Amino acid sequence: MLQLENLKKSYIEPNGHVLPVLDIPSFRVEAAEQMVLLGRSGCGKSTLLHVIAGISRPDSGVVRLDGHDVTTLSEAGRDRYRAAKLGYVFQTFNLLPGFSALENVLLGMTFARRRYNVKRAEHLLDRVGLSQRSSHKPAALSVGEQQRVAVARALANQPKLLLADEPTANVDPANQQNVIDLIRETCREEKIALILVTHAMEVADQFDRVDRLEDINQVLANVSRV
Amino acid sequence: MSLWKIAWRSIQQRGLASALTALSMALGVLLVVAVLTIHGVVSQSFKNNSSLGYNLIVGAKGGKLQLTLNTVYYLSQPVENIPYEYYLEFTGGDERKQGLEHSIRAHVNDAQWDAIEAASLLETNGLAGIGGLLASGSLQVADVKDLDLERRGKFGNYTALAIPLCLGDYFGQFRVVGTTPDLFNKLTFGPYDDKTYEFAQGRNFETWNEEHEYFEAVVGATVAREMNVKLGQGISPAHGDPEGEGHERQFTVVGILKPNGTPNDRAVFINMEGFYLMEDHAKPLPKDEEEEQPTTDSAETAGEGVEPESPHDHTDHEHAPQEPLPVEQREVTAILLRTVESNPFIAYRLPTIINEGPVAQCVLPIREITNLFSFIVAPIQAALLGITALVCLVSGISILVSIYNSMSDRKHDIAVMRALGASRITVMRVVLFEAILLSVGGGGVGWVLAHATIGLASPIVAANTGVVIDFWDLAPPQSLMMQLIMLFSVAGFLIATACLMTIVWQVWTHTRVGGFLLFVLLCAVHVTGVIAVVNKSALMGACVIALSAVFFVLLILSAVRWRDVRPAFWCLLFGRGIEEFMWLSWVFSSHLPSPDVLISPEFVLIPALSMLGVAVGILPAVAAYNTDVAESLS
Repeated sequence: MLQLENLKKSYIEPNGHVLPVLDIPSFRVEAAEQMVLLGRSGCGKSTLLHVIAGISRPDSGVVRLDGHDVTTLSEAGRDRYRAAKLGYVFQTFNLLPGFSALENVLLGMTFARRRYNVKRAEHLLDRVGLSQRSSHKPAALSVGEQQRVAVARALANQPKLLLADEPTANVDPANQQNVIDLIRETCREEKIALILVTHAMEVADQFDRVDRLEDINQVLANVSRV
Repeated sequence: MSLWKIAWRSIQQRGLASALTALSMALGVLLVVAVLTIHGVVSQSFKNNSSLGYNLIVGAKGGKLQLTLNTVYYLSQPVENIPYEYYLEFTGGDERKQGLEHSIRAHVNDAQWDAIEAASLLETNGLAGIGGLLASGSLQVADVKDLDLERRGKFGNYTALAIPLCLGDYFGQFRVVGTTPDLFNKLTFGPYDDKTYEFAQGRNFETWNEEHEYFEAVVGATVAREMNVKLGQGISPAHGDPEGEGHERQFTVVGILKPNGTPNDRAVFINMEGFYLMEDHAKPLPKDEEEEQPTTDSAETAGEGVEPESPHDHTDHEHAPQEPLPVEQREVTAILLRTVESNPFIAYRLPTIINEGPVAQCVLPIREITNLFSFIVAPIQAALLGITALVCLVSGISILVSIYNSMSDRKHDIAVMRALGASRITVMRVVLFEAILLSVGGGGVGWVLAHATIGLASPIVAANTGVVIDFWDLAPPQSLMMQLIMLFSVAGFLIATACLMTIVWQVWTHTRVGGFLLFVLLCAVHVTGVIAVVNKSALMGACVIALSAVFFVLLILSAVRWRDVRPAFWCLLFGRGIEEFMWLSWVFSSHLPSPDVLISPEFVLIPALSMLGVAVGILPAVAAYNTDVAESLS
């Protein structure tokens, strides 16, 4: 379903040097598959997620989702792709503070050029156990609750792929497992493929497929060899 | 969730700052609506008062404006008087004959020079002092022979209506006007000349009746309210000025006018015959003047319709009945004339004929009022409107500053929206909507405040100007076409200017030299443009075109090279497009055969505020457009 081929991405530093970040010859995730990407800080996890999400463009290579090459799309096309086919759960939740829990979920639907569906938003909030708190603003919710709202928002448009960027990093230990369980269960129910990025082994151990970024990213492999 | 709601949530999130910026816009709009309404009230007041059912005023020679202000508005010092006989020249044969009935010469004529008999007869008739005059021989046969009682007045054929006014007395601070019942019976007023005077209580005064003889009065609505005048009350006009000595003679109030929005609300109207019979109001005859000279009362003031006491005026008011004053002892301050409608040229010809004569002058009050309005009142209002428009502009800039300052805090939220699939254009629209909501919302609050203030001030305005305005009364309608042309021209200019500054700023962030160069070029284009217009210099005009071309090429190069310059560049083309289109509309509007619609400028206010919102929102909107998602999310 998701297929990366010969993906390369580098940044130009202020002194003019080219800093390669990603060099991935091949990477695949099947439909409804759940996998973990393990990697330490600064190893290009976020850059990879941004490239998959179409937020950043790779220097070269192919990012194919559902048969469509994302890299050939215009920026507006990538925006539409992101809205329609991707869900994103951030490490810092990134709920908009001025909007209630329900509105945050509806916000996810607004940009997908669909008629937003309040019933689905309420169903999702109910699914993550927050039906009683749908009118609360993020500041009135606990950290765990905020992350659950973020999960509901990511699922709002019935995406094909959910990208979860260290979703438990800012959640208290008592709630970490709940969040992981919630993400896995909802993805299973909605038949959504999941790429969960983490550096926590206790999380990774729960998944059948665990890929180390060092193994798939040639830039890091070269650095390791050096 | 609509983008408007997202924009509204963003406003709510910064509640205090948003409220303050909206308030500044509200105050700006309050000022604009207030000025427009004051403009409306003043115009309406002028229109009401300049269509009082007559088109000419005849009065003593002197200042035209003074005669107009004095007669139409009862303002300024009263002018000199003209002889009553001159007034009779504007009447038809019957009226003139009737008017001259009490002329000494007519009586002398009747008396056939029987001095003694005439004297005794006239004494009993109450034509005081005639006998003495006749006896003294100051009247000659020659005076009487040209008094043709049967002929029409010299201008009678041209006059549809002539109403005499005698001014000079006061009741409290209000003018007392001696006139005939025709003033209320025959005159119409209002913008379409279709309103008639109505009485809230009582009736019009009569020339003579058994009950009150010549001494009936009618008061305007304001006078009745402020002086607490009741029907049936006796009032005594004061002589010469508001603090002047009160006349003994009392007039009975028989009618109180309904408020009509004309200066007549603020005046007392008494029967002219009664006015003449008050002490001090008879013009002394030549013989009397000679006698009175050494002891003349100094109360006579220049330009007043009252004259020094005459020995013949010492009539005891308690002794009834009195006869009207002889024509020779009468004067009028002004004559309100309505010329015959069958020949419209009369209205232009008659003033020339009268002005060439030695006795009086004739003015077109509408011309005087329009002159006064266009030379004094209109420029002041234009200046006020200009100032309030600037206040709105400043409020707009405060919205710009408020939103722009919040942009650094909101970069993260914008990046999140982008990550959720919002396009660059979408986040740009959210910020623009926010600016529009603040402008229109603040403006709406200002509009309501303005009309609430107008509603509250309505009684005061009505009391002072006679113009009644309600909460829902809008500023008077103006040409929709011209308003739209002006609106879009200004909006296009503002949007284009905002875009230019945005582009200059964007280029500055890439290259200081380029930004500075663009800025200098922009200034140079404007300065040379002003010089070219002022000096009508073709060379400077060519320079403007050349500099503009260089500037535009640089803009295109910048937009091609730097992606973040593009949105502002497209907006610039949009703004300039509107502006140029409006220029063409302006040029060709006089050739377009479209029937124009009149609409209150207040209806154009909301689109105007939206345009202002767009203009001030462009800079922050472009910043939102250019937000780097990857950088802002991390």
